[in-house]
Amino acid sequence: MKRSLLIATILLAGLAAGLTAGLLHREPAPRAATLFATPRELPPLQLIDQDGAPLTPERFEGRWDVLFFGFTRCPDICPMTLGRLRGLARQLPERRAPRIWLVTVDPEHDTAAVLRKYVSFFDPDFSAVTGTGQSIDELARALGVAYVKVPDGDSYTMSHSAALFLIDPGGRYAGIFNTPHDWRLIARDLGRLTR
Amino acid sequence: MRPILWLAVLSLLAGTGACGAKPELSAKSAWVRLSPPGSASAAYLTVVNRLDVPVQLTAARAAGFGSVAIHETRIVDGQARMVHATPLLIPARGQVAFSPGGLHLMLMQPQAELTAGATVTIQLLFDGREPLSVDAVVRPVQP
Repeated sequence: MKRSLLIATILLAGLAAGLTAGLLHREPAPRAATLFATPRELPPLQLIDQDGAPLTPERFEGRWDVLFFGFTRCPDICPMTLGRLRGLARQLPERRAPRIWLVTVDPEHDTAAVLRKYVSFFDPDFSAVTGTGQSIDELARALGVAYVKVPDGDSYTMSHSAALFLIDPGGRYAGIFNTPHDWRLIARDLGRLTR
Repeated sequence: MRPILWLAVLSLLAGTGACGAKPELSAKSAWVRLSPPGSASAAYLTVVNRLDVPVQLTAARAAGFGSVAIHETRIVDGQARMVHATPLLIPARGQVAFSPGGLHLMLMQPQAELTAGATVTIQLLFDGREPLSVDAVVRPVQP
């Protein structure tokens, strides 16, 4: 009799612990994206895509867009990020998958033709952005992106933001994935945002 | 002719047996990221030092590439920066891992197009030590 009481007590305690854990688990987990309370309008853009077509703000409408600032002569973080983004975009149904854009911070080298070859290697659906240094500066300023040319021997490299920038289906700057990137959380957030 | 050949094989086998102990300096898990044709690429590996003293990795070469730089990506205040990492200290009885977003061998001036599954022979040069060769397999872009 005493033994069955003990077993019942243990079972009840276990049940209570399980319920508590379950309730705690329902708390919203942290998200990777920082979304702005009010999405921001983009300024007029004097940029072109990888096919040389003008990049008007309307091009960002109708879907979520993810922008990454980088350059084609970047051997590590840029291909790593584009590879990850390809994986994320492909996890989602095609109609929901965000458009992925590489905005070059090295327009001196990264012409539309160079970018076309580069981004299509990662995914034929990826797009890229180039233009004059000034026009890239304007977009960078609007998104709060910093980048700088760093001399390296008789050449140079680029130091650039590693964040991902979110444009909502209204074509407005809606948020940012800051570093360090937790790709699992980014995938979850993109899945929720594009639902 | 034939006995000489056998002798050579036997001595080779004996040599392998004698070297059963792991080498003092070695590299493992080497791979190269497949990159767009004509672009620089990156190689990653782990350098293992079983010596009782630290060694300095001073340079690297890669077959099929005009030059190699030992770099590190550092993200400071959200900014990704590429810095030269040579000479790179490999601690005594320790190891240093090169991995995406961190230390990498930047492979420049590719002389031919890479293909997934192929291997790139990388040679690591150390201060006061024999060079070390390792074959790195070319991996496709992350699926």
